Amino acid sequence: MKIKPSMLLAFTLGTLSAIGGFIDIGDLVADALVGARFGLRLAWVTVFAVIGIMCYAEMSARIALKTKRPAFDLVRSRLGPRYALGGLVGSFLVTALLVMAELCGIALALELASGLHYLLWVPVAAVAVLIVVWALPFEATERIYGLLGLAMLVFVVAVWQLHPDWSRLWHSATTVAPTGGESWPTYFFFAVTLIGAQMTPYEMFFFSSGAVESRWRPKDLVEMRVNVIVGFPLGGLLAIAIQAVAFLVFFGPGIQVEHISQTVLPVALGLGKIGLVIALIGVFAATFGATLETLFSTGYDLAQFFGWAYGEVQPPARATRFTTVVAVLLLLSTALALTTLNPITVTIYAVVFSSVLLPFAFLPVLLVGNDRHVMGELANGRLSNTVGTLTLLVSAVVSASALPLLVLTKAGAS
Amino acid sequence: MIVAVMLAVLGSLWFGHAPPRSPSAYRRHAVQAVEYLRSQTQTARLWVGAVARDDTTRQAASVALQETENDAVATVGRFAGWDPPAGADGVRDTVTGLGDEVVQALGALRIAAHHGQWAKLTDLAAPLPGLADRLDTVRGDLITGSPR
Repeated sequence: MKIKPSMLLAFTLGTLSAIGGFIDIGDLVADALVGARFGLRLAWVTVFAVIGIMCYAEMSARIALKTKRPAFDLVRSRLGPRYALGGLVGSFLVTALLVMAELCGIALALELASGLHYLLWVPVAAVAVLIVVWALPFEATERIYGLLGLAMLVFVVAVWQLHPDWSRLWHSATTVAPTGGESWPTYFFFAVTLIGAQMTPYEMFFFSSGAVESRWRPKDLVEMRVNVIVGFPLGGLLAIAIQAVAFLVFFGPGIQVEHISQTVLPVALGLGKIGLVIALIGVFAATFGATLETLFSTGYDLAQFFGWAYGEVQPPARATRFTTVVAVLLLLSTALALTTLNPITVTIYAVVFSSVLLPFAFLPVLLVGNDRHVMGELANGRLSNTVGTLTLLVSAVVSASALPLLVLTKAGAS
Repeated sequence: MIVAVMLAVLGSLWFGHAPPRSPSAYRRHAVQAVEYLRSQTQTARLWVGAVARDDTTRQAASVALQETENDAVATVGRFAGWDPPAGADGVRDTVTGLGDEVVQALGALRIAAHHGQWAKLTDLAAPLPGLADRLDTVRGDLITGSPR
C-alpha cells in the first residue's frame, strides 16, 4: 500500500489528538493524588484501564463505522428504552459533574498563570467554550486541543529531570499492595478512582458519535485503529508520568495533593519556569478539550435517545435542540462552579460515579460488536471478545464495590 | 440505582464530616489534622524553594501559598470546632496550638508574596522545617497514645 503524505498527516494528527484527549481533570487530580500516596503501586490499574478503553473505543468506533449508528443509539435498540433511560440519566448526572470539574480545571490553569482567583475565570472559560462550540469546525477544534494537550508530555521529561532512583520506581511499580500507613480499602478505593478517571464512558460515546458525524467508511478503519493503538497507550504513559513525579516529590515529605498547583509543582522543580509554563498550557488544553468532549457527549446521548438531529459538524441552527442542551448544560455547570464547590472533591466523586456506570455502558457495545448478523466481517474477533469480556467482568466488580468503598474510606480520607 | 447512588453520596458526606464521638475517634481525627498540617507546611516549603531558585512564576507561587494557608486555616478550624471527649483536652490544645503556629507562618508567606517581597520568603519560611518536625513528633505521640 502506498502511503500518501496527507494520510500520514491524518494518522499523526489523530494519534496526537488521542494522546492529548486521554488526559482530563480526573487524571490530573487522581494521578497526582495516587502518586503522592501510593507511588507507582497503582500503575497496573492504568495499564488495565488503557487496554480496556482501547478495546471498547475500537469496538464502538467499528460498530459506528459498520452500522452508521453511534454506541448510545444502539443501547436503546438493543436493550430497550428503560435500560437506555437509566443509562441516560446516570450518564447525564455524572457527565454534568465532569463538565463543571473540567470548566474549573480551565479556570484553575488560568488562575495559576495570572494570579487572579479561579472563580473570576470560570465565566470567561464558559464564554470561550461557547464561542468554540458555536464558531469552530469540529475537526479543527479536536486537532487544536489535542495538539496543545501534547504539552502534557512535559511530565514525562520531568521524570528524568528529577533524577529518580529507577530501581525504587520499578520496585514501586511492581508492588501490588498499599504503602505503609495506608489500608487495603483505601488502596482499592483509589484503584476504583483511577479506573473511573481513565475509562470514562463519555470517551467511548464521544469517539463513536464522532465516527458517525465524520462519516467514517471502512477504509478509515486503519486510521482509527492506529489512533487507538498508539494514542491511548501514550496517554496512559502520561498518566503514569504524573503519578511518578508526584511520587518523587511528594511521597517522602508526606504531602497530600489537594490542588492542581501541586500537580504541576514537580514539573517546576524539575524543569524550572519554562517547564511550569508548558505544563500549564497542557493543563489548559487538556481540560478545555475535555470540557468540549463531555458537553458534546451529553448532547449526543440526549439527542440519540430522543431521536433529535444532532452534531457538531452541523450548523447550530440545524440542530437546535442539541445546541440548546449543550448551552444549557454549560450554563448549569458554570452556575454550579460559581457556588464555590471544591472542584477537586467534585472530580473525585464524579470519577467514582463514572466507574459505577462502566459495565452498563460496556455491555451493549460488547453484545452488538459480537453480533455477526449486524457486524458481518467487522464483528469482534477472539482478541476483542476476550479483552472485552475480561474488562466487562472487572468493571462489574469495580461498579459493585465503588460506592461501599466510597463510604467506608470516607472518599479516601481514611 | 440512582437512589442508591444518592444515598451513598449522602452517607459518605455524613460519615466523612460527622464529629468524632469517642476518644479514639477524636485521636484519629487529630492524627489526620496533624498530617494535613504537615502536608501544607511541606508544600509551602517546596514552593518557597522553587521561588528562591527562580524555578516558578510568581503568579503560580502566590496562588499556591494562598492555597496552603487557606487549607491550614480550614484544617485547624474544622478540628477546633469539635468538642473533645472527656480527658482529651490536651490533644485539642496541642493540635490547635501547633495549627495556629502553622497558620501564622503560612500567612506571613502569603502576605509577603502578595506584597511582592519575594526576597523575604526564604527568611519567613525558616520556621517551617521546625514546625514540620514538631508536627511529625505530635503525630507519633498521638498514634502511640500521648499527649492526653
